[in-house]
Amino acid sequence: MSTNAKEIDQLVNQTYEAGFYTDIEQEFAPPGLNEGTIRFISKKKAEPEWLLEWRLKAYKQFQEMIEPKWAHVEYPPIDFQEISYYAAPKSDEDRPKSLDEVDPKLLETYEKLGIPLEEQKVLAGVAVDIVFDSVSVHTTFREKLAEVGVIFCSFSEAVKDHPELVRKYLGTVVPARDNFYSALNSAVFSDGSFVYIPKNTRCPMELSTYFRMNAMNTGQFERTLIVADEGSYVSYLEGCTAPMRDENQLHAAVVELVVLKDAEIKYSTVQNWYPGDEEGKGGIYNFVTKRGDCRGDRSKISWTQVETGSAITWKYPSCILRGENSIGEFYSVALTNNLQQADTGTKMIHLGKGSNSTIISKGISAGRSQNAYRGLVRIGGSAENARNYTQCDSLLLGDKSAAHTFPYIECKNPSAQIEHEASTSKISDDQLFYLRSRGISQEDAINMIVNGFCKEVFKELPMEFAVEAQKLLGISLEGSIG
Amino acid sequence: MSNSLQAILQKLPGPKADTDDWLERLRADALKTISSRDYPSTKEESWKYTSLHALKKSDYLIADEHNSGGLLKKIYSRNDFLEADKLHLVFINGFFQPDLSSDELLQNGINIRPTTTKKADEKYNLETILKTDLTETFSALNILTLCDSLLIEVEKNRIIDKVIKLIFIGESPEPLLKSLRIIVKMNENSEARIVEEYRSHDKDMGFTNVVTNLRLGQNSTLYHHRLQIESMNTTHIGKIDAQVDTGASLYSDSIAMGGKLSRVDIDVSLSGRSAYCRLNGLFTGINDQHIDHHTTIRHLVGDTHSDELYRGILDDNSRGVFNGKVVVSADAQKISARQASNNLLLSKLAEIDTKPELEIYADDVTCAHGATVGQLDETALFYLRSRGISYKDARALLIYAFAEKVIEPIPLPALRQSLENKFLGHNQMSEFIQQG
Repeated sequence: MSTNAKEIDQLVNQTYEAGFYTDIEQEFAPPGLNEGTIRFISKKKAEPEWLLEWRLKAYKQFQEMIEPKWAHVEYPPIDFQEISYYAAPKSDEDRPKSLDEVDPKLLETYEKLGIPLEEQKVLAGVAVDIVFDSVSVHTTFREKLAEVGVIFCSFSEAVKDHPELVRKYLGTVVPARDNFYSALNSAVFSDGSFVYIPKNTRCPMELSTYFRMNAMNTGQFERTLIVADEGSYVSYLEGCTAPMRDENQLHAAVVELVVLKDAEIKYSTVQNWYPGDEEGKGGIYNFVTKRGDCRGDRSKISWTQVETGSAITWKYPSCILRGENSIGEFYSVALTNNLQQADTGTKMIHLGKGSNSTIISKGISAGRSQNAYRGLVRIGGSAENARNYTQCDSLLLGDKSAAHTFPYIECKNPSAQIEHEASTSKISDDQLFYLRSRGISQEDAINMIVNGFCKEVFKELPMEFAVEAQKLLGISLEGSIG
Repeated sequence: MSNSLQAILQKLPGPKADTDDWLERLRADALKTISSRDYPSTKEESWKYTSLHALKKSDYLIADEHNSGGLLKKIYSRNDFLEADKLHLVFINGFFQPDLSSDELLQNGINIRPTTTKKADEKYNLETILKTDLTETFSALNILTLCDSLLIEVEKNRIIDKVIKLIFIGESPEPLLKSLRIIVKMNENSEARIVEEYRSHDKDMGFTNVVTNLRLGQNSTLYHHRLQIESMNTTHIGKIDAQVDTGASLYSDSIAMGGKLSRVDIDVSLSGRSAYCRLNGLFTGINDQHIDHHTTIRHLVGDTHSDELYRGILDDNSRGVFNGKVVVSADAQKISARQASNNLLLSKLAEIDTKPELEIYADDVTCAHGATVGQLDETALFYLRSRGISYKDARALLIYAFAEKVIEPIPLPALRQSLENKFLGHNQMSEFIQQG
């Protein structure tokens, strides 16, 4: 704990750590959204005809949709014609085969972010698929994964090399017309990750993607598709940082998970995008659609997220529990400070007999921020003996902060058991006094309590992520306590 | 534009020339508000789970004093309603029946005015009260189609011993819209107990649209019990709007068992320090009943407290909806709010949709809510069966045990008893319970 305290001391008044800008020539699509833009993106990526058709259809649906307003967040209207929908590093034509071929400036960026690729390769054994702006430029450990038949590549590569898999699963969990932003994403998505784990395979390492937004005024429209075939297992990590920017950047990603019989996907996210300054200027809009489909019996999806960044976070990683005895889990820590806004939670749709879901959500609001949990638990008529347990707790740090809870519970089966509890409170004086009387400084004490508050979620994270998450909490809370 | 709501509005007499009358002005505003609307649809968040399809299909007459829709049962006598220690007021098809009501309404310390003239008394500043929520479709409709309204004022420092019982009976063989308004004004340090009972003839086809405004002055206490046991063909839309001042306490029960479609909105503002409210509710559904409760508790200032408990029991293919919202305003510190929604599903086709919400803008608060959905405990059922209690009785007993948490705190023995009877029937079991 004292280490944590030191870190906090060091970081007093420090501005956003990852706020720098790498000067690399980019190839932009001109700002604006029309059929031409979509054809440009598709052509640029040399996509097959069916994918272009798919995009155009999504665009048509997008045009008929209205921007949703129901979330508990406020922001100025987004001009979708102001955004440039494609930006790729110039080296697109001849991609580097090894680190030596990678643009040294890129490597420098990663260095500043503290992701030394070499070190990670050796020490962590993590394959990193780095998305720099919109095109995947480097993939490691491909060979090792290939040995066991795991496919882990950028989305555009998957379209080229495994079109049958992509076609089979793309848009089956999150259809293009699912919502406004998924339709937008489907029309203009630039790149993303594709993972396929073959039958009865346990992925030998944790797969990780670092997204990084870099260019000015480019929305990031990532598309992730993970398919776990029967009896397989994969743990997928997603972490994000973005450079400091004064204009709001829109991020509308779509993540689809498909889990077949007896398979399991563990999806962990640490999100630390630029949240804007103390006055709420700048910052990322993070409007993401994440959904997993437990198609087979005894399949399992576990979402873990630590959300500390972004000016606005608006996402609901969900599980459709179709298979018998399938399991959905959602563990979340959402921290908002200054003028950040978060409206996040999950949906658990129980369709299969004996399906089971657990929701643990911890919201921490500091400064003048708004933090909302919004969740849905729906038990279908056919879901005999379905079970849900939900716990959402909010911690308020600062008398101008706000915490909200909007849980929807819909039950159509009498054999279901649903429990929901929520509480909202501030750090109790008793707890503080106890720690203070043992010689622990105010800041350390608060940090300790906050970390304890989030422990249930942190223990679900892979080890290295958990450490990062704890650090992040301390940094994000900086200046808001005491 | 033509829909069933507009069809009702077209039956209204045209605007009066006398524009000095504030009530007429209010009506003109209300008409303007809803003249281009239809009933709320399920696309609206607060009506997400409740479809008003049935209302949209029906063509309602507006109730008038002459009962032009007809009466199902023509004869009642005052004795039918007499109960010890109670003042009672009877309304049939929306209109006050002085012949059937207690004759001693003007008593020490209390002022009960059934305003048979549509123009309410200026003295009570009714304009501000009636203006509340005029933008809501049903509140606007209420003003426009008002039958009788009732004003109850309890004088300063008075504790009213007798229970005030309001009985609203539906007796219409035709689809009939009855709009009612009840205004209760509790002056400083006063205390009263009020029962609102809505019942109807088996064949009643009424649509009750009632608004109750409760104004609790400093340190006053009001027990408000709402009992809705209308027949299976009726539609019931109710609203309670309460303002609770410094040191005052509101104890509200809403018990909904009747009606094909019933919806009650309860909105309580705790506007002075040490204000308290306890909202309890119990709803039971059978057949294809649809029962909806929406409650909002607003903690507007610091040091206000609330407790809420709603329990639902759904059988057959009935559907229950509960939406409980607690809002803590900015700078309203030292708040405590507890809320629980427990639901029992007894059949494969029954459904419950519950949504306990918290909206908190202050930090020194202790707020908690819980929601559960479950079924009867098999082991408890087995325990009772193994002691020779029939399946039917054992089931009734367990259901009653579930409901008891709401029934037990009701301070009116007669009301409690009648609820117990509803759950357990007049058999040995209920006597056993009552003795115990």
